[in-house]
Amino acid sequence: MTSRTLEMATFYVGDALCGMDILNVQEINKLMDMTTVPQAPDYVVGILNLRGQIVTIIDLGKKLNLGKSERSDMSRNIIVNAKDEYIGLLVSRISDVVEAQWDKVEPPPANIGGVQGKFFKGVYKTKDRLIGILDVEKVLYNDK
Amino acid sequence: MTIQDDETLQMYLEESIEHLADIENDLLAIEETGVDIDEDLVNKVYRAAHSIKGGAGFMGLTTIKDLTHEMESILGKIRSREMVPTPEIVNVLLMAADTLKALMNDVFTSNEVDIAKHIDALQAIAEGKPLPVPAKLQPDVVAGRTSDGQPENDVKMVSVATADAGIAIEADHAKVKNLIDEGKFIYLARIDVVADVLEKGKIPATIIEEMEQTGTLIACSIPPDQFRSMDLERGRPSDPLIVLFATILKPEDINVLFEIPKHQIHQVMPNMTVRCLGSESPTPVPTTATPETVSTVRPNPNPAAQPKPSPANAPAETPPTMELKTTAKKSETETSLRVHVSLLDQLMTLAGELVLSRNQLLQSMTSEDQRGSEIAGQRIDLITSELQEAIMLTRMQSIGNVFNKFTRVVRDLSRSLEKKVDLHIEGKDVELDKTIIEAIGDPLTHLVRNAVDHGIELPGVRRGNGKNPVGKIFLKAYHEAGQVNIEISDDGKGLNGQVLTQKALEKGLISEDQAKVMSDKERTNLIFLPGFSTAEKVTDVSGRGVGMDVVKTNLDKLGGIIDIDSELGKGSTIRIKLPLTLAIIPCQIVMTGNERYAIPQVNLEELLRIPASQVKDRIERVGDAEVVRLRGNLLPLIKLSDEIGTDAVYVDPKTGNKNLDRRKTLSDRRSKKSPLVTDSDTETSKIEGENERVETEARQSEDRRYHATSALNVVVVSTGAMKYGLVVDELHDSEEIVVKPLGRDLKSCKGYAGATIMGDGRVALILDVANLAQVAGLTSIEGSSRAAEVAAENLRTIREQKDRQSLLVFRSAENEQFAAPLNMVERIEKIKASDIESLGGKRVIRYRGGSLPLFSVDEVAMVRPLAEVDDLLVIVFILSGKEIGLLAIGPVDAVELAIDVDGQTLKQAGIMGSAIINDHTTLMIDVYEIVQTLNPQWFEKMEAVTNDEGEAAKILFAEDSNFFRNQVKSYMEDEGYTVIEAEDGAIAWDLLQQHADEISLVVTDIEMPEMNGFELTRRIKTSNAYAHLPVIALTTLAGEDNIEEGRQVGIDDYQIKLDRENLLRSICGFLTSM
Repeated sequence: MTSRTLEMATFYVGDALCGMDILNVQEINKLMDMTTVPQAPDYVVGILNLRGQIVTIIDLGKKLNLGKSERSDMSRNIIVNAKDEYIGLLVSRISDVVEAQWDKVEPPPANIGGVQGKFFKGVYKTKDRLIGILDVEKVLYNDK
Repeated sequence: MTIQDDETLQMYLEESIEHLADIENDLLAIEETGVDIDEDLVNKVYRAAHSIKGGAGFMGLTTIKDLTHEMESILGKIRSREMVPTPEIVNVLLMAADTLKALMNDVFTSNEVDIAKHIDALQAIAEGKPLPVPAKLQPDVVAGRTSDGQPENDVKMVSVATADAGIAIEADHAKVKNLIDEGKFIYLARIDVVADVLEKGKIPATIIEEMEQTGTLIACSIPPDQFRSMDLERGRPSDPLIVLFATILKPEDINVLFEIPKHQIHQVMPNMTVRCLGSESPTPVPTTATPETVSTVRPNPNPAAQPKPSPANAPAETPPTMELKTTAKKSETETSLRVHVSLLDQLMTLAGELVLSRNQLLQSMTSEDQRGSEIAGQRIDLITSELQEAIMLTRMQSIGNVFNKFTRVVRDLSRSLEKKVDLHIEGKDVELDKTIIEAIGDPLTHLVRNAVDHGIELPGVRRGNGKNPVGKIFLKAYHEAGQVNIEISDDGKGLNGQVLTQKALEKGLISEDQAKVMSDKERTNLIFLPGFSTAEKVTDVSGRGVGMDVVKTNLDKLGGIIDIDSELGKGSTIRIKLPLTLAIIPCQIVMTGNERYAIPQVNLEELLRIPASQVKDRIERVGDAEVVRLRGNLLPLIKLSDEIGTDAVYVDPKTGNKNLDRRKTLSDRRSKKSPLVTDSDTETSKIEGENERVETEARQSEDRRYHATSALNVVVVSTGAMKYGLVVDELHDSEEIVVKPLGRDLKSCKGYAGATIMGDGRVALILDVANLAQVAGLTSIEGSSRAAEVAAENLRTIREQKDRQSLLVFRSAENEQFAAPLNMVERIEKIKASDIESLGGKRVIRYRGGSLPLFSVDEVAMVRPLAEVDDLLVIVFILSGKEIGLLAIGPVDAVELAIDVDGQTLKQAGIMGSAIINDHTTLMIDVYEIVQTLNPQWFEKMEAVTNDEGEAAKILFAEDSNFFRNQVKSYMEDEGYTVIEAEDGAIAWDLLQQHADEISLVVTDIEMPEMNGFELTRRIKTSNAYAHLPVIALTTLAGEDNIEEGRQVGIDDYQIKLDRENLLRSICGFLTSM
């Protein structure tokens, strides 16, 4: 059953405004003490303890080939549940929750703010902004 | 009969499976005893089979019942000694037991399985006929009829019935199957002649006609013709017509045809279950195959003699729904466990205590009572540990479950390979976590099979090599150091390291360089590399090169390690180490680069700290690896900081700051003045400010060398095959941690085996030491020339250690040092001079409820008198069963030195000789002589043992040190024996041959240059002429490593060189018992 409304959590990755289905989002946290993992892939920031579970934190900017995200007070970790493990996405800034209509979503262009189109499910235009709806699976996909 | 689908069935199955396991073991035992029948054992098996049979009958498991019945009858015959359990008979019984197991695992289809082969074989045995060839037997003809007069031969009948057997009919199975295949619906219906036919205004003929027009009448209880012409009278009850009918009409529509009450129509599902159309849920009633109504022609009283009509097709037809049900049932049975009730009670108690402590804690916290919180916290700590242990115990199963099935495996395998193998199992009671038990079953089976297949040679070959034609395999399990060890050893042909290395080279698994420097142990461990198989013929017994590395991988998953030790021609031993549980493991926490890491204790061998002053000496470079010398062997080192790519850090003890350890190599000692310090370094130190500069200037190169921070912390780890040292910055505690898996992004990181959460909430990574070694490209240096040098050096030092004495060094007067043999010292006590009492001219002291006589050296020997101090020491000796104390003053030290004792210069009564110890002339006291002089009445005179001619016995004495030889010789000669002395084992051997029949006993030292004591003893004991001579070995050290070796060559007794009493007593003992 597909609902016609999509609630999105939006956030900034660098300069690009992205959104993801709020049902994917487990929680959003401020940056906490992380343990670095030497020898890990470069997009892995570290691992942290989330109420007894080990969560891998990924720099979303790096993963989307935008370069390392700047860490500031505004940076947040979006914890998503992907294939029965928790992964945290480090983003520059959190924005609002936006309600979108699926029929208003347009196919993604080749490039949004530097991020390749393949990571997006589509784009949504609000009054003043363009939100790229991220395909979380694709983003987290690791080709081994 | 129906199969009850409920808890009763589950319980029955669990019990029966246990019975079957016992039956299997007992059958094997029965086979061993052969003609010598152990009635109790046979009884046990009989009773077990009987219980299974009884339960099966009750549950409706007819196949199982029938099979068990046959087994039972044979067992009965064995029990009454009408039959001898030959291997063939036992074989048939075992196969039947296997089938029973299979039937029980798939219980709902069990009634359809064809066990004709087994029945026939079992019956043939019972009747004493030769066993039938195990070809597929033709199903015997049933003397039953079908209502449509089908040919009697080759007809397989199936009986279709409802749950209450109210409606049942026999039908030709093939026909039914075909119709089902065609997609038709099969219905079983009961048509009541009166109610359904007459009252509805029909006649029987019509019914038949209608059915024949809309489908196929497979079977009728009354032949159609007969029915058609049935003369019916109202009100007279007659047999109902039961039909088996196939049609395209769907269940919803079928009653249009029949027009009978719905509950009389049942749909026959493709799996032969019957579904009543009148009720909601399907009743899973599989068809029974024993139509009691059908009479049999065969004289055999056993109703099960009729072949099961359902062919092997039936199970294949089982639709997915049925299978789902059985697998669901299966997984339910697999996830149940037997737990001792006492353990559950313990858990309940602990849970209760936990609740109480928690309440306490909460209360203390809210009232901010710190002390109370602490106490409660401690209590909770204890309870949590106990709880964890108790819960772990519930999951423990004894490894005997796994080991027991190997008896069968080895037996079957050795028979098929025509080898003779004896399997010994030890440690069946060792307990392991359930998941581990389940997981090691396969790897162990593989290893055992390998041992039989590749390890043990054929009997002929073994005989040719001088081995016992029966090979031995030992399977041993034991607990050690918090882990479970499993050993599989065989006395087969062992592994050829060279051949393995060749193969590995050929397959490109190792490089030439590696191949050159490998140690023997590493060569044999090559077998674990993936892609390895050296079997000449890859038999399907032991697989094709997927064996050993799969075993290793499986064990790695469990967190265990495996390694193999082998000697060509003698045999191999495989050792497996497993942790007790998977989830919680004890670890050593270390710190490098400001981060904590955990090293599992499974891998931990020891912790080593190299003080700064020794760093330069003990660390060397071999090739491009750094190694440290550890107890005579070289240990390669890896810097953890290098491997993970962080910077090593050391804590400056003065400032407590953590500074980067700028040492490039471990043994690097840089001073500011050395050419290694570049300009940039001096620059930074200038910038770092006043205080720093003062620090750096003040530090000299020598200081740095000895700075505490320059010491090295090394964790010695082992990966089964290899040991190496991991250099870390700091060592923390060892803790029990919970292993949490890493996310998929991090799975590719070699070097980490998981992560854990520490007490402060932070995450620590768990190191995978095996992978670290690989990543570091650690090659073994064992085979290198340097290692050989070190080993040789070591051997030399050991040899030079002969005549090392363990001595207790003390003083009597301020400047006079004495020494006594440490072995003779019982203990040392501190006393006050004022406690000494003087009785009858002797000094005593109240001691342990009695009086301890005291003496000092100056009472006997001409030495300086005992110092007059308040605090004295008493060195307690035991002589002739009595305790005596020697007064002394400190300093007291225990030393182990190779000393040259001068037995001449300072010899006098009470003094054996002198030596230089720690730059002091030390007098060696002869305790025996002193005590004897003071208290001669203490010692019983031991008569020297004389031989027949009244001559004192002659003793051959070999000892290379002049001092000791003279000393001990004097003991023996004083006693009255004649001593033939030899300076060396070789000389002793010659003397022995010269004086062959005179010598009654041999006393020998161990370390002698030409031929040592062991060799001499071995020669004596393996020669026919002298094997009867008792051999007493003399030793000087306080601790013994070689007692075991001594026992093996046949040394009869070990004595301490300077313990005169015990030596003489031992000599006397041996000579009198000869």
